[in-house]
Amino acid sequence: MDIQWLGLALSALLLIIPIVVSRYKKLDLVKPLLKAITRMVVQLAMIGLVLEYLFKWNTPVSTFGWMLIMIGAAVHTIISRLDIKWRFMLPVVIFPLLASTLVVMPFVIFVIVRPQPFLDARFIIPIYGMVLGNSMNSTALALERFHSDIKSSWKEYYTYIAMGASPREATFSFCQKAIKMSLMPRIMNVSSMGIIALPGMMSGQILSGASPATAIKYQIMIMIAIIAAVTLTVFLSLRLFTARMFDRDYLPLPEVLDPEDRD
Amino acid sequence: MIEIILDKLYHGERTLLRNVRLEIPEGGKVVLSGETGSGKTSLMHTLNRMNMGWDGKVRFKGEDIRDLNPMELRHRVIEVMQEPFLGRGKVREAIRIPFQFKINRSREIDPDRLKLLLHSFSLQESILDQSVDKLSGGEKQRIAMVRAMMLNPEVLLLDEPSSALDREISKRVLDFMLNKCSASVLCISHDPVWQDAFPLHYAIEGDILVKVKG
Repeated sequence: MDIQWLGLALSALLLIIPIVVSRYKKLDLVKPLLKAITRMVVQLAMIGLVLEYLFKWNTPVSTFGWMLIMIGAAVHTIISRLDIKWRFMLPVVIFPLLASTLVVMPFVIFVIVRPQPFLDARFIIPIYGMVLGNSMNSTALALERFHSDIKSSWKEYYTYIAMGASPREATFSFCQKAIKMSLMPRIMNVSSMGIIALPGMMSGQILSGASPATAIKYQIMIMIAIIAAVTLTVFLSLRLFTARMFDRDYLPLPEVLDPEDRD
Repeated sequence: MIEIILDKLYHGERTLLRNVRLEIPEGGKVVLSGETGSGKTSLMHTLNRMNMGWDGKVRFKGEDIRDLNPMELRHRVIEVMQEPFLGRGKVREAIRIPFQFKINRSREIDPDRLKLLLHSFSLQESILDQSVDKLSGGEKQRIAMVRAMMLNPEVLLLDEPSSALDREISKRVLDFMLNKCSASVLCISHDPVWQDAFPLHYAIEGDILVKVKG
């Protein structure tokens, strides 16, 4: 069932609760809260408008074009979370995202779901949003962790290359930790699914009238697709990062580690 | 035979040394001294390509060091740091680490040799089952030297190897390096006992490398 515009406007009344608590306890949260809500409304209105058009046109060009914009936004988010030059990180982030998209999405579309028509924007865009959003978060976390490990465990890395290790061998344990760290919470998340709360996509489908069976099948499919995409993106980005961050003597480039921090 | 002939040696942008001439004969033992920050470590690192900031030439057994693959080179020239990293497990595992690298695949841990080396460095065999973080600084240094020697290097680079050792043990390690080790040794040390015992001694004074002995 749809929400009436008037009803939605009335949801603002619920904001009285946080506002009163904030005033009462002097939390100074009224302003940030109202700002955040306004921001959300504007952003969602804009994306709603974009989606209206994308679904209306429903051409491969518009759908793929929008997917590229999504990748661009994901790349931007990942790199701005790291303290490394843009030019240096761009290929490290962009190729793994493209590669995991090209592996996971065709499988989801052509093998698992087989929607009619195949390239239905209504199907592809929300699914891809979930796959990409999760890949983005995990990749940013993994790269951040890997980079800070190289800095804080510099002596470990150095000891290994000083005994003949290649950069890949010397960073093996950092890589291991970064991949594990990005996958462990997801595995826990999957195992608790459905017990505490219904996942967002499932709730959405049930609310919009799909049968629980359909919603469950979608949920299982998306969780597996997300884990596959996350693993592939994280693995490839760490590989590229390792290949790019060292000079020909296997010492880290100044973009990654200030030479003054080495000794 | 190693030849280091440099017009200039840099650390980043800064010039540390000028007109360097240092020769290490096959199996030779060289001790290097100088104040902190004078460039001892930067000079030593020209031999395992950890520092390529220099003008001149560095030759290792007739080959230009610039032509050698760093992995291949560091499998022959092994550095032991002053505070080495030994992992987070047991000593036995710490010694096994470099044997897992592709370049060292042909090398195997010879248990008899390990026993002998532990003995030469005044270590009990039972230390192998101890956890690395229970070791003292001096034990860590000696385990790192044992590990390096297990790899049969042609050249051993040592950075202040006696800094955490008491006098008796320091003497034994010194005796091993000078008399029982076939590898060439380049050793940074401010320890006068070590400086006296080494047949070749170079010192850094200002931005000049001076041959003190040999």
